[in-house]
Amino acid sequence: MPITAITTCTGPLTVSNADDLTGLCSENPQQLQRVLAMTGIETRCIAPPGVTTLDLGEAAARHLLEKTNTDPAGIDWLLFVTQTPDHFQPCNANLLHHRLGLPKNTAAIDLNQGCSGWVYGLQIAHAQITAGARRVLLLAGDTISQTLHPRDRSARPLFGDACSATLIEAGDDPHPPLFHLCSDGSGHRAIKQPAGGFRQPLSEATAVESTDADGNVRTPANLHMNGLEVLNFTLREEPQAIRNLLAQAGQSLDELDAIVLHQASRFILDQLIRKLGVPRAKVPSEALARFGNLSSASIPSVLGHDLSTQLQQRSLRLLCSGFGVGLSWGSCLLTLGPLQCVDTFPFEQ
Amino acid sequence: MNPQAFLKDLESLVNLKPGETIVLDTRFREAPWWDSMVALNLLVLFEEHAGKQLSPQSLAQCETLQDVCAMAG
Repeated sequence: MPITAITTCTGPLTVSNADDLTGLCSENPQQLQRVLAMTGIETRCIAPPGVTTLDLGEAAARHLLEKTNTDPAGIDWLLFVTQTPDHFQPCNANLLHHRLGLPKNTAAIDLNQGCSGWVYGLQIAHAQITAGARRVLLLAGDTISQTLHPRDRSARPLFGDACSATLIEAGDDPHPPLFHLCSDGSGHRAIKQPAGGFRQPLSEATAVESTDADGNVRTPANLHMNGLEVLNFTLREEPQAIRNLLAQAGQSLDELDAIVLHQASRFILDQLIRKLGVPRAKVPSEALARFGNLSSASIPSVLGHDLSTQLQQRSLRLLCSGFGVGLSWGSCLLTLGPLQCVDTFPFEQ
Repeated sequence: MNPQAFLKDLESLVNLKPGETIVLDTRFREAPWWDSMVALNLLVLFEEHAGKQLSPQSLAQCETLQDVCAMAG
């Protein structure tokens, strides 16, 4: 399953976390410094109202097709991983199918998944290639900032907006990828946007604000994240899942060129680095500092930002692992590169 | 788990005022230094000292740091 290109289109606005949080932490400047240190995020790329994941995805797809000189008519599958679609119906994949002018024999479907979504999407793309597809175009991204309450200082400093595009093609692959995908729905409350679906439709009641013990303001229509639950889940499941995958492959962490983890926050990355016992330099995270937590576009943003130069020139043995909402987590071992296109770029309105 | 070593590491994580100390009887949620970021660090610190995880549900049952240390078993 050769991956030939990966690109990430980021939200067009660059917001400084220090500037943005000054108002939210005005009563406690030390708290501001601690938030900045624990997130490790200097700036976040934000999509303003009116710019959606579909728009970012279209820009990413067009950029990728142009850079690789790929004929859209040759795309057999269009997969769109997102939790922030334009509509409940129809799905983003169908809308993008139209925008890109793809042929009628292209299958198009959305996958509702978050921070593990790129790995999940890649596994499904791989399965389609194995089943006979020639090319799969995988989109993965979200505009999580648009789901947050402006005065939720627990989540607002974390999230940026972006959508990635990955081109997967049939061909000889001396190092086929290996996947390990997991779920635990019992943890569904840890990260949740309670209202807006059919269980709790939007109403006057879902617009009512509440303030938690830490002063974070949210409505039921906003994304709610329980940081303690997320940390507990990540440290419980992620290191073991990564070790299981390596054992399955008969490989060790030392043999990898890099470990590309979902860019949740500096604090979470540091804890995983500690538990895995790997050098910090082996876990790239510049993308986190520059873009923020990009949900399912997070891993592609690291590939296109931190590892871009290397992946243009040579192949790297990588372990990529995403974890988050669901709860859901997934890891893959793959040999990637040299790629025709591996970059990030901001959306132009 | 060594409670005193645990307290010492916890003290290094929070901004204590001059003369302020953390003891086992400290009702941590009422302390001026307590917030959600300290809570995240506390879970990590517990795991480092106890060799096992402290779940958020278990932490919610604790009132003092003595209660937290007792969760180590």
